[in-house]
Amino acid sequence: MWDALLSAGSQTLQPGVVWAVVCALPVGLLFGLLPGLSGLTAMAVLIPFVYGMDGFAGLAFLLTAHAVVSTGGSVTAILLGIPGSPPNAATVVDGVPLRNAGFGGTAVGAALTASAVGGVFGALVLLVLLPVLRPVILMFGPPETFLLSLMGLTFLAAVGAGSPAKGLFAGAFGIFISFIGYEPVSGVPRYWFDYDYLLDGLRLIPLALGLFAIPELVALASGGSLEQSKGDLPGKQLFDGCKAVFSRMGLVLRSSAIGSIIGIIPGVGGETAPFVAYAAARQSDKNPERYGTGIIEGVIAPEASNNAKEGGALVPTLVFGVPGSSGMALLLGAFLVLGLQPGPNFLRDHLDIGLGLVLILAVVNVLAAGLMLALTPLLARVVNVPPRLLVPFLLTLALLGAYSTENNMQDVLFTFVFGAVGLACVRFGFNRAALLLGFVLGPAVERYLEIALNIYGPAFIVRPICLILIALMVIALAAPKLTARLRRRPA
Amino acid sequence: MKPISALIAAAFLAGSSLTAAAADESAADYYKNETIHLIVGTGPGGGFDQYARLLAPELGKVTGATVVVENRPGGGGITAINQVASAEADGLSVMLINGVPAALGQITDAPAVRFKLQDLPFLGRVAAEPWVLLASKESGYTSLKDMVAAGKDGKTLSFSGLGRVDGPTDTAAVVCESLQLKCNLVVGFKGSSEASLAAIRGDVTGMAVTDRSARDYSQDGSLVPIAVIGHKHSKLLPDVPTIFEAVDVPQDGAFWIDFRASIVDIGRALITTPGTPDDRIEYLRGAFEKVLSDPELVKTAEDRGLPIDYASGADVQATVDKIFGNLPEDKLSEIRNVLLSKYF
Amino acid sequence: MIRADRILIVATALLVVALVVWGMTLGEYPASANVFPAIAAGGVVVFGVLALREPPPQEGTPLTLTAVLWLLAVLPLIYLLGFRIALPLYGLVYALARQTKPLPALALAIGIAAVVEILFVRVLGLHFDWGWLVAPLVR
Repeated sequence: MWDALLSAGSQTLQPGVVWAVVCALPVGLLFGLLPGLSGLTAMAVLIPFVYGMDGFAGLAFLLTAHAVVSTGGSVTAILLGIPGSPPNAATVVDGVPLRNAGFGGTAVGAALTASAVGGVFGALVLLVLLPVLRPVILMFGPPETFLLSLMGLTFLAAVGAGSPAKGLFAGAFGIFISFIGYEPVSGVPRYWFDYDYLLDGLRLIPLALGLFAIPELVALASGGSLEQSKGDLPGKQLFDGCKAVFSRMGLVLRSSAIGSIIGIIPGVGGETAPFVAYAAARQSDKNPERYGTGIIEGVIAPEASNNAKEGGALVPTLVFGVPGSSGMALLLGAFLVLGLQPGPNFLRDHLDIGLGLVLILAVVNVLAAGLMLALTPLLARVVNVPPRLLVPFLLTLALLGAYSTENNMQDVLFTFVFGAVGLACVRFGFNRAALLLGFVLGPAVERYLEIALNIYGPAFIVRPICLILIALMVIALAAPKLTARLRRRPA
Repeated sequence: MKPISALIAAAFLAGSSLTAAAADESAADYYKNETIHLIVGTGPGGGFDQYARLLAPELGKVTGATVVVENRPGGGGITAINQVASAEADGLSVMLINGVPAALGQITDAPAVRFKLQDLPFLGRVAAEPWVLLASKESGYTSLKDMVAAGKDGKTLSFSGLGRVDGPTDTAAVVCESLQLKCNLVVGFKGSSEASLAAIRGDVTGMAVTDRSARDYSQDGSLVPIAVIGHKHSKLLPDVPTIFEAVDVPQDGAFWIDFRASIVDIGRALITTPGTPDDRIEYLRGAFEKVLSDPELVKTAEDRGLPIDYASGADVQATVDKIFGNLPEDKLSEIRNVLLSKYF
Repeated sequence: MIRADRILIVATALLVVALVVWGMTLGEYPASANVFPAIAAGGVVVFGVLALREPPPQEGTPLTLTAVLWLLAVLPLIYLLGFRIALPLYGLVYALARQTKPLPALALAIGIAAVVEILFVRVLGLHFDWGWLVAPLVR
């Protein structure tokens, strides 16, 4: 193991690899910063460049671009209120109130630092689990995935601010619209009304852009402005943000762990990690009602988990040759292009490459955060741009981002349709983050319940891990009430 | 002046019984400086996309046209075929289709299918991968013979899959039908990789995949390749017997295997819009033949893990006509029953 | 005065329930395909009823109809002229209409055109259709 680690280290320091990282890092960050462009697009763009690269350098190249996307996206989420990539939506909830209160710099500093710590944590988890990963993944079959997704749904009420009833209403609506299109098991297309686009269901990127970008743009066009930080210098604020992260290490580690777990299990969907981390942070907080009003914890939790999940998602890819996400599927393609075959024997034959990827993951997360911190004073100027120039520019980015995922004009159209939904949410206090979370989790719950019932019958719930998950769910649901009662007693 | 002289020239050529050559010539002229859209029904990065991006520049070199790859994901590739089938018949929209879901979608009357494969002009086939049945190590079966024996004892076999007619599931269904096994097909997995995890875990008896995936999944023995579902051996897994070698396939069972194998023969095929002038179709067929039989391209493709298995447009057309030409209505409803409901 | 948020909740709940009922009857979906939509619709109705009792939302940042119409205007423009012309033009017009001096407005249009051409056309290799008006000219 140590030999492999050493050889991995020396491999990582080869000039070819360093160049690959240096080239891919800004690309990944840029794709994160720009709303609508995701890690998937970043990798798809970069894959042609991999041909002809040395094996490990090519992998480092792609992994870097993919891993740092959410680091870039957090800055857009806070400064503009538009998530740079869908998983950054959870950061908007507290990031925007913080910015409005003049603490944009602090929020960005905290988000970036949390991203770095989360990313390193994710890499460490990967490192520690590497030898025992196979059984761990095999333990999580369809029944366990179903229960994990269901657990995610119990957090619906806790994501974001405002009344729980309205949050759950939005969440239920999000679940409902996620059922449009092919039903996973019977293959029946639902509620598609002979409109081909709907066969595959509504798409995540137009939904995220419509819910968050359009209302923000309407507000700007209505004469609103991005409120600017006042008082402290941006540098001081960024530093405060960093400090805030290190004084809340418990929260950071817990959120990172949530990210890692969700990343490891293929099927739950990495997009949910930041929402779940946010909700878990809120539920375990002494004063949950502060969440959504602009507190730093609400930025730290999602961003830490966001970057931690990338390490997790690498696991099934490396160990089984089974990609945990569509981004990882592209990475898997790159392995094959480079003549490497991920799978059960991969770690035995190429342990140094596996460890090297872990190292890369840890290093680029720190580098990305550092680079963004350095760039933030510059990027923060975007809030000084007059809205009359900012609106058409951001609209361009949002619409093209929506278009670029499938080369489809209908995605642009639906960005506006969801924009109307987003406007209604903003105007009447419905929770957009809950809607998005419901949308992502709905299909997973349905799919894996049906598969679990098909394989095991109703008895699947007595499988050991299922029982543990159910117990955890009950505790999570009952905990806020219990702690409230306990707190009342001594008084 | 120009159009008139062209007319005169055309009349002259037509008169001098060089029509065929002239048509060829004019098609070649037509494509120079035009833009050909090479469409794939998946997003960027996947296998189809990689094939298309490999072929596009070569096709451009041969024809002198600008060739752009266009990704139009949706409906498992069906939506894009609909679009190409109803596009302007100018021979500028060419699509690399996935033969299995397209043909099975048409046969099973899938809701979104609005094309008839037998009406589409085929320009050639890029590749065709045979399908292989894998058994989970956890299941204890190491050969198809064991499975059939267990089936005779009344055991229910289960196979994992995604949708019903996109490859893994229908292959398993066809095997169950031809060997008269009791099967339960567990569908709904999000991707073939997730379905394979279920097999590795032992949640199901096995699954069917392409020979390439079969080779990858079986490297450590957690999944065992037990039979190629067709008549020919796989080049990647030469030791794996065909289903006919592995067990005695009943007389009327062979129909199902042949049926499935002929659909596999369509493979990753190139189509264009129905109604495209014949000379352009012939010209494109020739161009693809030139591109796909270039040893250098074949080598590059192999190196990228994209094997080429060329068949001419006429051959693919014949395969398609054979599949759809002589299917009586009662056989069709039997096929629909087997693929869509019998084993679920 | 009936509150707009209540109308919205009731309308959403009715729409969702109507879709589920339609799927069960005329849509002829198999039972298994109806279970989850029905559960979700139930959630929408139950939490909708609870949400009806919530106090009215506070007026936040003003959102004007003019602003919405301005944003929507980009859609027909894209259909007519295609992304590559429509987006820079939209930027120019939008900026000029809001008392921007011609030079900065032009700079904005050029900036947008540069982003479209460099990032989306060159790097991402996107294919943009020319709009309905422009396509005949380009051929």
